[in-house]
Amino acid sequence: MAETVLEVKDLSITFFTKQGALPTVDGVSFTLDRGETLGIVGESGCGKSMTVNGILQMVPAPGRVTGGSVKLAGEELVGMREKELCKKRGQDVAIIFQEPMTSLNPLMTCGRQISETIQAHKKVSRREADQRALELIELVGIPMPEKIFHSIPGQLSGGMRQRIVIAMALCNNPGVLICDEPTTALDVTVQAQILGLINELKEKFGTAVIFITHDLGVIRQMADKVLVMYVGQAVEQVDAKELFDNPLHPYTQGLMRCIPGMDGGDGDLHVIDGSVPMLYDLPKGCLFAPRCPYADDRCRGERPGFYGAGGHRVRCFRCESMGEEGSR
Amino acid sequence: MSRPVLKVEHLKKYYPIRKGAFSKEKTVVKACDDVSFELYTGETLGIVGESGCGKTTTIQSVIRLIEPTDGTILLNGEDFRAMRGEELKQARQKLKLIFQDPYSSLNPRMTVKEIISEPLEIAGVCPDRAERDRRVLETMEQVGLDPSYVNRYPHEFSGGQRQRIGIARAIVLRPDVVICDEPVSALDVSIQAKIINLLRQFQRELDLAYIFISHDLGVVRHIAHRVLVMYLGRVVEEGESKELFARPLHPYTQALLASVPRMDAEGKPAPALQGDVPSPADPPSGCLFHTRCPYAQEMCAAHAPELREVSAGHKCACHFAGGLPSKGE
Repeated sequence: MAETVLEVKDLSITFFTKQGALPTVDGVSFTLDRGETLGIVGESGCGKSMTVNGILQMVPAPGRVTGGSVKLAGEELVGMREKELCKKRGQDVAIIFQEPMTSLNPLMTCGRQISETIQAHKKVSRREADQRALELIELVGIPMPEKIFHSIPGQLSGGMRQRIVIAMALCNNPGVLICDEPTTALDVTVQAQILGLINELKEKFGTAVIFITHDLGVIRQMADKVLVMYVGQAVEQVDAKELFDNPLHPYTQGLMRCIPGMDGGDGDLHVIDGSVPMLYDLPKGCLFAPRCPYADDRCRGERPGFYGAGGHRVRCFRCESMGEEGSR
Repeated sequence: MSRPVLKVEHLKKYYPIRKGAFSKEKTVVKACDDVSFELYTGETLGIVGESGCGKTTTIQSVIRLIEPTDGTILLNGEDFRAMRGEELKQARQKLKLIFQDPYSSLNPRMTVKEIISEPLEIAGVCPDRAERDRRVLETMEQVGLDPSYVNRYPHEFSGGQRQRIGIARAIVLRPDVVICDEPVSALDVSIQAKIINLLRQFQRELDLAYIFISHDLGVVRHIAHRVLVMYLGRVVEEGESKELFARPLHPYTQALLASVPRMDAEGKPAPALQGDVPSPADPPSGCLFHTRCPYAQEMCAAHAPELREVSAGHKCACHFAGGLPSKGE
């Protein structure tokens, strides 16, 4: 059995605002093995990024992790002291954000930014850290590493910057790498390069990856298993292959059908009616019921459980026959 | 064949720059170099390419938001570049833009009514205020906005609704050509689908011609009838959308298509192209693409290929269009 590096159980995040307590993330659970990639998909505002903020214990005020547990290599992160957490972040779990320019210091050379991260976690000399940084810049496939080492981020293209961020994330060889829409701001050709690089490095170091994206095509190419989120809840959770062969939740089906394909027909695109509900005005029943083509009275009155067996779980009454909610 | 509503010939936009911060030597960046196309009523022309390839420069030159260096622009057969003053203002009513970011393209201090009626006021087409208000409400209904929101401000709307306001503003004057610069890139897929359907519906109802810029090839394939593929300011391939996506001739188009992550194909992505787009200030010799082209031969570095017609309506700027040599020879 593969080694489990991250175990998230019933993670809940609530924002305490004037409109009341808003359940931003509601009972999300998953496990991540060494070398495995979990994809998280959903529309904006459905809690994808907040879930990873919850893992890193970086939920911004007025939000708070209000329940559940996050075990990184067997160690509980929820409730851990900030000082301890700082040692974990960047060391055992690292994150890559969407826009590389905002996660890099514009006034510091790329090389120094990487070596600084190394020195923050390891007792090494500046010279050793710089040497390691240079190796990393080479590792992420940047031509002329010495030149780039002394460049500031503003002199690099978007793809190059994202490679620097990846080098920085990997500098302490973390067990878990979180990628929060790392290629959304990039061109398709550069996106393909970056995705290839992440896969290559993942295989080389056995890093477990959490990949957040709204692009189902990217999920198909990157993920081993997928978590589909809608308004803070996991609505479908399954192996990637099974998800694309046999999507069960109406939301997943809708998402897949509204993407214009490369060889699709010329008719109007499929649309999901309505819009994502506001957290302070959630429907009484199933959260997707107001937009669901199959919704009936029961859906509008009652919240469905997370049904399923055999690793395919769906939050929909139509899948109730798949068995009761079991703990995995 | 009817006359094209917009005809652009040999459009060029060059920016003079200095070589190096202190150098006196001057050079030019060819942001848009020798672009020609025709656009017919009811037709959509897609423009694709990586960032920095001149898509936006091209359309900004077409509507003369920036003055082109050279070239001809014929709008309904009239010379658009020769127009001045009032004549230009009137002609511009026929060319409208929809922008990418629905958050920054709407004035936050104007109500929806003011935003949509502003073009009417500028054009002076209906001086009667009641008539103007009626047109605003009618247009709001057309784009699927609740007319009771007419006095609200943009921040009260979601991204998709704001894009609808942008569309309402563009179509309220009944233009001939609407230029859409990445109109759905900032939206979620479910909202993107609605906006695309809406644009297609208006095309049918109002006989609009679209120029549709996007980096999302799936979207372009869906909405465009003809497609221009641009690289470093030049058109490298042009053709009917179906034909171009089924049989891409230029190695760059092939690489772009191969880079799109697809839902129907399993497997790890294989980057089709290495490296970034070269700097337009220092473009490669010969064929602009030869530095990244897997098929590049010696002659590619020496001679720039012409855009030539390979099959009916399908043009390609590659020495080997139709019969590529084997890779890396």
